[in-house]
Amino acid sequence: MVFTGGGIILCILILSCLAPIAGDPCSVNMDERLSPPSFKHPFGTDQLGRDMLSRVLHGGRVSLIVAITISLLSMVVGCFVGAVSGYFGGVVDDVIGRIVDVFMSIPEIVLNIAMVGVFCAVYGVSTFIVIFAVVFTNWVGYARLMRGMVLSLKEREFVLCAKAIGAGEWYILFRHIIPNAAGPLIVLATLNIGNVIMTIASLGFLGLGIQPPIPEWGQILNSGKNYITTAPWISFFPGLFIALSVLGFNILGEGLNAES
Amino acid sequence: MLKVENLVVRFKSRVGVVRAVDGVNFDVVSGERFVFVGESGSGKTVLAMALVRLLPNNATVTGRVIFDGVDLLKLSEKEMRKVRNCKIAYIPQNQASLNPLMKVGYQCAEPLVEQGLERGRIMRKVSELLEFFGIGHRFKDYPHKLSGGMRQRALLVMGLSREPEMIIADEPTKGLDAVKREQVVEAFQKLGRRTLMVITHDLPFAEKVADRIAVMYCGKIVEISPAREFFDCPLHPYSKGLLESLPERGMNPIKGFQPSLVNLPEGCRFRERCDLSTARCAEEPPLLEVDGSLVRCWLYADEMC
Repeated sequence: MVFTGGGIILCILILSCLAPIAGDPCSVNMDERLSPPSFKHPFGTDQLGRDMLSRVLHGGRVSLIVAITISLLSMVVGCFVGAVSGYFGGVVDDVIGRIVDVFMSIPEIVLNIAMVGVFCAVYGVSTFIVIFAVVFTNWVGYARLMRGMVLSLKEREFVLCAKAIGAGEWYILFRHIIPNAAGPLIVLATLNIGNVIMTIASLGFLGLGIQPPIPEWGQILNSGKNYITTAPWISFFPGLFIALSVLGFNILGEGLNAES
Repeated sequence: MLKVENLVVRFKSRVGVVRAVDGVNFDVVSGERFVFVGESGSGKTVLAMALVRLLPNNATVTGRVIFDGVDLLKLSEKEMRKVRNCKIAYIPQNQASLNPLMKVGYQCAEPLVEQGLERGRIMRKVSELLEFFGIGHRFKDYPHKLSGGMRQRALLVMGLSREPEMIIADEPTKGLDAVKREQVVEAFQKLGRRTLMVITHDLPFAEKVADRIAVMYCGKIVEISPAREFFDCPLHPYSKGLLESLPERGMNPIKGFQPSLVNLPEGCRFRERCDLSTARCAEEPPLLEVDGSLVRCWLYADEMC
């Protein structure tokens, strides 16, 4: 399973890296608008005659980079908050626990849309706002996992041993506890990247995600929806890539989970 | 060097307050090897952890633990960390005490890193110590590659590397077979004249390392004797029972079970299991001095009169 999932992701990554070979994703050619897949344009062209292959592959770069960035940032934030909550316990744990509950009680996508709406109104549209908005809701899962891990890890013998040599609490937390929680965290992160790709695509589809002219899968999919009967390839290929990459990350995550 | 006065450790639990250590007094002089023996659950480990204040928050510790003239129970957490780092090395029981993700050598070096020594010196010192205990080639191995005995020796290196004034080793032979136990005994004999407090229920091991023996039963010390006297002629009926339960001394286990620490019997706690108990045992016996030993049993009260 690790190899299947990893293989799918690796293929998409390589294709994304090779995107420039497929040409400029933004060069408009009205003579060739809405042309179906052919040797010249393997994925066809869109309503402005832009090459879909190039757009989808460039979109892959954006989607993957943004998704991995979001996942890593959420991991850093969530791990820190969860570890502190689990290790120090008491009032700290209660306060953090309630905050996490609040986040869990609101559907993520609704919160994302609200966040993007508010921040775009104040600061204008940018990719950073999308990243921030998704991290804002996404860290919660990491925090919950980390808290649980830390609760059990802090009772382990080697933590007592570290205390017995006079090590400080932060040292124990960062040096002894967090590294021992790495396994499940990596599994969660892998599965999470798949989810984040979906979230970004959803936001893109709703017009709230990464804005044109930067190509992004969800946004390309949206732009094709008016032509779904006449030129289905515009929506089909980004949709296929979203599905494949989410599938790849999920299979990889499940595989890693089974191995660990 | 270490003087413990009226140490009491209570745990709050749902069934009531557990007095795991109940009014313990003893002192360890400099250079001595003081060994605690007793059944599982007699409060030995709790006692040791109370001395270095490593018990969880639901434990309340009262009494005085005077180390080099300072009451450890009154120190701030920060000062206590210094004591644990530089003065008293507590070596926890069992070999799960090594972080599985850290190479043995680096882990043994941690106390020195905490002391802020220079890196090259730390590594030299740790490898010398590992070499000294015969596991020098294991410096860059992860703990799972080491046998139980090796891990125990690694823990000992971790304890020794910081050159503490005193070592408290908690069940250093737990879960080891005879051969590996021998390795640990050798390791302890290599320590020379360092102040040592060992907690064990392994009597043959105690015989090999101890200068003085303290016997604990249900949170109280029932006997403190010089090691030779203890093994030749134990005073307390419980000590006799412990020794007689050894295979080479007839393997006669003490009848009955240790009472629950939540509702202990009045008077002598060993009364119900003791063949020699009399009506007087319903009263708590004092710690009596008999020929240089201390014993908590009414049997010896008459001799004094």
